[in-house]
Amino acid sequence: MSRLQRRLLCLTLLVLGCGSRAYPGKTAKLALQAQHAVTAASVRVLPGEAALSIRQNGNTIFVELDLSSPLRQLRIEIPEMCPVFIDVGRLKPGETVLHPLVDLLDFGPERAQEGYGQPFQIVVEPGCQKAARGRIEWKRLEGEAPAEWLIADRGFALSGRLPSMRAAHGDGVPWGIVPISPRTRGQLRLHATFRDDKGVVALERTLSVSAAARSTGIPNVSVGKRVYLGGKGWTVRARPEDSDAAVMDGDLAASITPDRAGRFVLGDAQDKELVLMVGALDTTPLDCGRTDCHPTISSGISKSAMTSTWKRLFVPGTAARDILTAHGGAAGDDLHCAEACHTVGEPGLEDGGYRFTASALRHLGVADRGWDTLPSALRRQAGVGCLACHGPSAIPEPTARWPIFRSDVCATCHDAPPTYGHSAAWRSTRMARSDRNERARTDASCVNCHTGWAAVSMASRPPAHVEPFGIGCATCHDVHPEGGATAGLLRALALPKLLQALPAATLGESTVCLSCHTPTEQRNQPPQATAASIWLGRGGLDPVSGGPLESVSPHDKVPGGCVGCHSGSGGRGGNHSFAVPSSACVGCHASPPRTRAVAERARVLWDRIAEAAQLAPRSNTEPVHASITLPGRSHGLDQNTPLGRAGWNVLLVLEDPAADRHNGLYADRLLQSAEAVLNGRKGKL
Amino acid sequence: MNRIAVVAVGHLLFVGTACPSSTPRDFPLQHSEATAPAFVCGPQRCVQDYPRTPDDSDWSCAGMAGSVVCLGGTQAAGVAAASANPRWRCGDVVSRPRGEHRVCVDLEPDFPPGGAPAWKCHFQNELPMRRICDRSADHHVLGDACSATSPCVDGADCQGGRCVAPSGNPFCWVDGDCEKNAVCRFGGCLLRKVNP
Repeated sequence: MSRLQRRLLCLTLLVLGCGSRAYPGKTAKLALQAQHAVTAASVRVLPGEAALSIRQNGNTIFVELDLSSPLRQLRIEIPEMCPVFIDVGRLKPGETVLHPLVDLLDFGPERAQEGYGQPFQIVVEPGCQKAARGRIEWKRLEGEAPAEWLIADRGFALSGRLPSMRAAHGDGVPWGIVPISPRTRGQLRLHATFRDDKGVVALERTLSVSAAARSTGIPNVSVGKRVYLGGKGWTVRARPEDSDAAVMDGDLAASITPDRAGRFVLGDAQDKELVLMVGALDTTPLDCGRTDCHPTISSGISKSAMTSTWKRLFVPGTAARDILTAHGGAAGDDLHCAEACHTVGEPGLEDGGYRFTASALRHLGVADRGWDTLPSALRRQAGVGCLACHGPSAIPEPTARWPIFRSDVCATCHDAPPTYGHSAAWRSTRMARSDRNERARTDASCVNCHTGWAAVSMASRPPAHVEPFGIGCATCHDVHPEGGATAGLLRALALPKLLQALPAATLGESTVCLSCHTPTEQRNQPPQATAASIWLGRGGLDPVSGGPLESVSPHDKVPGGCVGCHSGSGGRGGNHSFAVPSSACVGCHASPPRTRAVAERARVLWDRIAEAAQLAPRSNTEPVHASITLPGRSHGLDQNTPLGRAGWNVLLVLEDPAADRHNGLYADRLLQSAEAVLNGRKGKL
Repeated sequence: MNRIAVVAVGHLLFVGTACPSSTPRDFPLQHSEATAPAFVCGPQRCVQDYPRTPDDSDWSCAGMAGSVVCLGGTQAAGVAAASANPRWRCGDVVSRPRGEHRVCVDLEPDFPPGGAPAWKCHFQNELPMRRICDRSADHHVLGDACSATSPCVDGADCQGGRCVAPSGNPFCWVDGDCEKNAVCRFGGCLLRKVNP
């Protein structure tokens, strides 16, 4: 059929109704293949009559065309792709023609570790004329305004300089591998809006540029990830045979980029060693659950919210999906923004993580197809699995396992204010400083409640030259509980003996706090950390009989227990400051409770008891528990006497600086009992 | 099967005048099972990175007459569960501790264009796993034509003139998993042929 004939036929068909299926049975398929998963919700075919059906499989969109249609030319529009022009007349019946799809704009690779203080440049390449005629508007979503910021060429070129390491980390970094969080990686998050030559928004993209890749601070690191080193005089003492990696000097910290899998031994000027276990995430087996290794942990973690954190993003209506959408997850189609913290690996590095594997499988940016259709190799990396915290390669040497107890491991995701403010809130607490005192981090009677490592594993004591790191996330949270996941992944700890008679409902989420905030019943020791004792009206002694002196607890019905009032404030994660906002009291009290001057009353009583018991004075040099820093040798109290028991009661109150708020009635009763002894009263109180 | 032709973009570029158009048509996309990981091919060899495995665990796999047989078992730690993939037939290796060693068979694995008859494939089982297919014209596979004079490969049955794998779930990985006088083929134990 000649061209003229076809045009005549077309005109005829226009009269009759263009698009009718004049020659059924003659079809061909177009296989439009993208380099990544197509995130488009729809495909527009112009004119529509030529297309019989459209379906998608992976990165490929199949368009079934009716060759009997008189239409010759076809334009296919897919959002964020360059339009496709097809000459239908060249297709043969029964044929499937592969046709590559081209991105409207190519923003280049993720820039994950450009270097602190280094210049960066983004040059956007248009994929077709349609793209070249438009312009790009840039908006900074997160990060300080960079120095030397320049936007040129209608937005197709952007450059600037990333912050220095000192600007990102402050003046000091800890010895060894420097932990790096989203907050300290010198990250700039940018939003690009592309408008075509008609001013219509044709594409929006969020991308980031970072000075450094995130680091947990543990010695298991990915090949190609630049590792920063706190300390002085680092050199490479041993490395894999074919490695050329060397230590580079820096302003605040040196750095090294391991270039091969294997064992790297580094040494500093003080002859302290650091062993890096280097590998790739997709070469590390996930057989931790073998019967001779960690079967119960593996079984428990399979039900953990951390494990399913990516899977749940596939399910509309779940909290995870809602949060994603609220954070700009592009109506749920583009999950790139969630990848860094919901999967394993660092986007932009060739580390064998999720983004790397997805890229290799051309499976980027997929949201809607469901968990089961993800390739196995991707599901292995999808979620906060073992390697997200423990890193790739082999199990580290026993002396190098302590960093897993630093909160920096969790901070690689949870230190990203304002989205994740957990770490920032935690740093404001006294728990973050609980081991600054040397005795607190070395004395066997202190370490269980003052160090993050001893609270979980006595075998993981860090070397003496390591800076203290407080009571961290892993003290209260157990990400892989052996008995299965708990709410909030809270660690299931045994109740202190003093509180074991209380119903579990009373304690709730507070259980995890109680083991360190309840005094032991060692009567030859002064009571320490008595907040739970006062709150729940337990632990006092009747000075006369020596029996328990108990009281009701006005606050034991507060939902959530301790964290019901110690709820923090601010955005997501702000609850980890555990501060009590004034609003916490308002639900029940018309105004915040007045201070009863309980502490002052208790101090006066203590002075009288110390004098009556003739306790020797002692220095108050250690900023530790009140009962230790008080004048007088509290150990000298004989609790077999009314005076000794009165002293015990006073110390219970003194040890809790918020005794009047936790349970003012009980504090009052304890002090009254001591006053009765000192005033010479007899009889049971 | 449709012929697949790779056509240069330029050959399909729009030229001439379009038929006076009616309205455009929007098609909501429907998704189907994820595509197979792509093969990257040279003239004689194709390589598939991250080939399909029975589930998300660590597996060791082997090609067997156009099928794939894999051994694994320990559930992948820290990976959310997925539905069982129906393309794999799986069973416990009877001679080994239960639940620790599972063997799975895929009778219709992915192949480069030309399918099983044109390629002989093996696995590189070190992670990340890789499937390597070499062109081969002289090997026998499941699906081959068969007859009394043209038998199938060991372990396959000739049914309706075609070689098929035995039905049932697999239970062996290597010959050592079978009785002394048997060999393991397609996950099942096959009595050794005794030479007269």
